[in-house]
Amino acid sequence: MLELKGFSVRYRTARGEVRALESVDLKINEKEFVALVGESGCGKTTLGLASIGLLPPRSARIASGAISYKGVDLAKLSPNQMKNYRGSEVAMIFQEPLTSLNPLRRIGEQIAEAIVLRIQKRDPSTPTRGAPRVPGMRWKLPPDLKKEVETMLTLVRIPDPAHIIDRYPFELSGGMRQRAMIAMALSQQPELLVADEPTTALDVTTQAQVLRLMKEIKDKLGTTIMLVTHDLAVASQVADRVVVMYAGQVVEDADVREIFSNPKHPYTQGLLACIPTGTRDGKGLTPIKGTIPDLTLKRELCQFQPRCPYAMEICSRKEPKLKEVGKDHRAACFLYGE
Amino acid sequence: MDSAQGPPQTQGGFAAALTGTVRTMTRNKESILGLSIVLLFLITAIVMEAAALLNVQITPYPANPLPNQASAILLPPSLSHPFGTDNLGRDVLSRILVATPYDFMIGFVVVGTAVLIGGVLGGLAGLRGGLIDEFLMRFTDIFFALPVLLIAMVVGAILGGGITNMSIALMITWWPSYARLARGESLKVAHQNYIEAARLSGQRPHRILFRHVIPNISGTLLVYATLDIGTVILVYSGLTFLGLGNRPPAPDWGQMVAAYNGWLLTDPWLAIIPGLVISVGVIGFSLLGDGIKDTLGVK
Amino acid sequence: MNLLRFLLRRLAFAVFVLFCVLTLTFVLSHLIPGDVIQAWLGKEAAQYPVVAKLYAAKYHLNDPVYVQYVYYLAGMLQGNLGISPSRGFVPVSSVIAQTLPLTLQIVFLAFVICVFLGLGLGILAARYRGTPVDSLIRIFYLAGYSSPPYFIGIVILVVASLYLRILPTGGAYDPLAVSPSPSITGFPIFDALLQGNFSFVENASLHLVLPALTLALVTFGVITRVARSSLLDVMQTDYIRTARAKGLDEGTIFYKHAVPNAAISLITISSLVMTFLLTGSVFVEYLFSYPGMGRYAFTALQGSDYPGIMATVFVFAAIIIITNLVADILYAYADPEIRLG
Repeated sequence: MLELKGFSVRYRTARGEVRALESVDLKINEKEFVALVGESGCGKTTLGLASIGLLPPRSARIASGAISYKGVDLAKLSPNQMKNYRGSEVAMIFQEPLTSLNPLRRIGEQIAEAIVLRIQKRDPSTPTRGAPRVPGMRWKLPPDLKKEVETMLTLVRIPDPAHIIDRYPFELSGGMRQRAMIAMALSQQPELLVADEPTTALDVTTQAQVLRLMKEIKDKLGTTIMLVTHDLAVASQVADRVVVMYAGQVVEDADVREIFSNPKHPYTQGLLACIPTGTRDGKGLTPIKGTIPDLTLKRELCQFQPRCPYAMEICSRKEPKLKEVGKDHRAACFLYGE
Repeated sequence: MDSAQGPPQTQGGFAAALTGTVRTMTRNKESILGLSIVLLFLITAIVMEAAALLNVQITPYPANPLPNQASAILLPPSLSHPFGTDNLGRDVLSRILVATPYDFMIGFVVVGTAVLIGGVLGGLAGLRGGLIDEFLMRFTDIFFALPVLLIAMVVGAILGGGITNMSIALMITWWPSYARLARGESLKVAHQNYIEAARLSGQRPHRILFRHVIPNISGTLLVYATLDIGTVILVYSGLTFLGLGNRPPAPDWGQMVAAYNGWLLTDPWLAIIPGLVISVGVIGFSLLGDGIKDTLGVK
Repeated sequence: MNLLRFLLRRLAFAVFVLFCVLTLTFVLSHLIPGDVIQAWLGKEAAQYPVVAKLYAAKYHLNDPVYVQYVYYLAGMLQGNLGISPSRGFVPVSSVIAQTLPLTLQIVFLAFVICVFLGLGLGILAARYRGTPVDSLIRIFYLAGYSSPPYFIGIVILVVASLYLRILPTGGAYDPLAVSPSPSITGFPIFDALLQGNFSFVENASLHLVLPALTLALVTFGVITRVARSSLLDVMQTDYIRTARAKGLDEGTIFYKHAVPNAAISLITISSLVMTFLLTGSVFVEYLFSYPGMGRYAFTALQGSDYPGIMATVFVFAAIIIITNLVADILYAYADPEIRLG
C-alpha cells in the first residue's frame, strides 16, 4: 500500500545538509500494524511526515527515490491533489495533543470540521458548516453533525461524548486529548493512519489504553497503522511488524515475534538488551555505548559501525544494504554476507 | 549539562555583541540604509555642536541673521538656498542644521538615562523579588496609563519649556518600560542555579546584576533602545511643535513646522521640509533597530 | 467564577490608578511656581482682589494642603474641575463636555480605519511574506508611524485642499451651510442622526474624514506589525500542522484558523493604539481647527490655563485606563483558559 524505494530526504540547515533518510526501502501492506522504531534523529518522524506530504517545504527536499501510495508517487501530486489525499487517504496524529489541537476551538468543532471535509471531498459542492466565525462564540453544532461527532467520540471510547463536544482542549486530560485526535483522524475514514509517538507524552497506564484502542481500530475498521516510536516495548504490545531504523536507514524489518526472538542486526540486539527486565538479577542496565553519527557527512561506511560490538573490517569501508536473512526478515548487516 | 559549571558564555558581553552585530548587519540592505541615515544625522549633530561651542559658523548662512544679513524672504528651494528661505529671510537649511544637535541628540540622552535608571532599578527588583518587586510593578503600571506627551505637557506648563526641562520630563516617563524589561530578564536569570551559587558564595546583588543579568539582556535592550531613540525624537518634535522647546529664535524642527504653518498654502516647502527631516531621522532608527533585531534574532 | 474575580481585580486596579492620577494632578498643580491664585486665575483676573478673594474662598486655596486635597477630591467626584481662564472662565467641566464628544468622534473613526487598515495589511503581509508586497507594506507603515502626526496632517492638508480640492478643511462643520440639532446624547453627529438632520450629519462627517485619516495613518503601523508577526508565529504552531494533515487547503487554514487566533493578540495592544490616537489628536485637531479636547489641551497649554491642562490630562488618562480595562475584559472573554478557569 505504501511503498518506499531508495527514498532519501535531506534537510537544509545552518550546519549543512542533514541526511535524514538515506535510500530507504520499505513496504507497508494493507491492514498491517507496523511499528517504526528507533532513537531520536533516526529519521522515523521524517518518514512519517513524508507519508502524508508534510515535509517542511522550505527546508526539506527529496534527494532521490520515491514514496508511493497505492502506486501513486506522492512527490508528483499537485497541491490540490495532495490536499485531497491528506486526511482522507492518510491521516496523522502527533505526539503532543495539547499543542496539536486548536486551543481556541471546542473539540466538537474540530472533529466536525474533519467530518465535513470527508463529505466535501466526495461531493465538492457541499457547503462548509460546523464552526462559528468567531472562536468562543456560544453556538451549537447542527444536529446531524453532532450525532456523527458523538459516534466518533464513542468509537474512541471517550466517556460522556455529549459533554466533551463542548469542551476545549485544555479542559481534557492528556489521554482524552489523544483519543480526540484519533477520533478526528478517523473521521475521514483513512486507509492509513500514521501515529507519531502518540503515547510518549502520556503516563504508562493511559499509554496502554491508547495503544489498545489503536489495535482495536486496526482490527475493527481494517485501518493500516504506522506507529512511529522510540520504545520497543510499546511496539511489542501492538505491532504486527517491526521496522528498526538507525541514522536514516532501515536496519532490520521483520514480524514482531521474529524481532524479539531472533534479532539479527546488532543494533536491534542492543535495543532489546536495553529494555529493563524488572527483575532483580543484579545485571544492571546495558546501554549501547557511543552516540549517533553526524548526519551531514557522506556515508561510505556502516553507520552503526563505531558502536557495533561485531564490527568487521568491511564495515568501515562500505555501507550494508537490506537483504533477506530469514523468512520475511530483512536486515542490513555484513554479518550476513556482502 | 553540569549546572555547577557556571554561567553560559556570553562571549564577551556587550562589546562583542555590538561588533558582531555590525558585521552581520552590513549584509542587510535595510540596516545599511538605517545605519547610514543615523550616522549622517549623528555626524551632523556632532559637527554642529562643535561649531556652536567654538562659536564658529559652519552653515552657509547664519541661522539667526540680523535683518541686514538676511536674504530675500520666502524664496523657494534653489541652488543658493537648497531648502528655501522663510518669512524672515532666514535660510531654512541652516536653521535645520543648527537645530540638529538638540533635536537629534535628545534621543540618546533620554534613552540612555532611561536605560540606566530603569535597567538598574528593574534588574535589582527582579533579583530581590518580594515587596520591592511588587511595588515596582504597581508603580510602573501607573506610568503606563499616562501618555508621555501629556505628562511632558504638564511638566512644560509648570516648569516652562526648554530642552532641559523637556529632557527631564521625558526621562521621567521613559524609564518604566526599561525597568519592566530588566525586571523580566533578571527574574528569568535569578532562578538559575549559577545565581544561587553566586549568592551563596557571598556575591552581592549589584555584582550579580552587572556580571550576569546585563550581558544576557543586552541584545533585547539594544533593539528596544534603538527604536526608542527614534520615538523620543518624534515625541520631542511634537513638544517643540507645541511650543515647549527652545525659546525662539533658536530653531527646533517641530517648532519650525508649527511656525511655518501659516504659509502652508502659499509656500508649502517651509512646513514640509522640517517635517520630512524628522521623519527621515526616525525612519533611520526604525530600520536600524529592525536590522539589529533580525540579526540578533531577538523577539 | 474565576473570571469574575479576575475582572473585579482589574476593575479595582483601574480605579486605583485613576485615583493615583487624580492625586498626581493635584500634586502637580500645586507645584506651580509663584502665586497659586495668579496661576489658576490668570494674570489679569488676579489683579482684581475681590475676585481673587472669592476664588480663593471657593476653592479653599488658603487652607493647608491636605484640606485642599479633600476638597479637591470631593469636587472632582462631583464633576467640578475648576474654571478655565483661557475660555473666559467657564467651568472646565462644561468645556470638556463640549469638546470631548467631538474628539471621541474622530478617535472612534480613526480607530475603525486603523483596525481595518492595520489588520488587513498585516494579514496581507503575512500571507505574502517575503514578496515585494510584504516589503511595500512595510515601507508604508514604517513611514506612517515614523512621521510626526502633524507632518502627515500637513501633507494631507496640502494635497487635499490644493490639488484635490475635495474635502473641506477646518472646523467640525460648516456653520454657513448647516446647523447642529439640540443635544441629546452630547454627540453632535448622533444627535443630528436621531433627529433626522441629515444634512448636518453629512457635513459633519465629511469634516471628520481628514483628521481621522491622519490619525489612522500615524497609528496603523503598530497594528500591522503586531498582526503580521503574530500571524507568522501562529502559522508555525502544531495545530496548524494538524489542520494541514486533515487536508484543509491553505486558504482555509490561514483565514479560519490562523487569523482568529492571531487577532486575539491584537486586543492586548489596543490601549497602546488608544494612547497614540489620543496624543495624536492634540496635533491633528490643531491643524484642522477641529474644536475637540485635543485642541483645548493645546490652547490651554499656550494660555497657561492650569485647570484646563490638568483636566484634559486627567480625562485622557481616564480614557486610556478605561480602554485598558475593556481590553482586559475582551481578552478574558476571548481566551477560553481565562474564561473557564
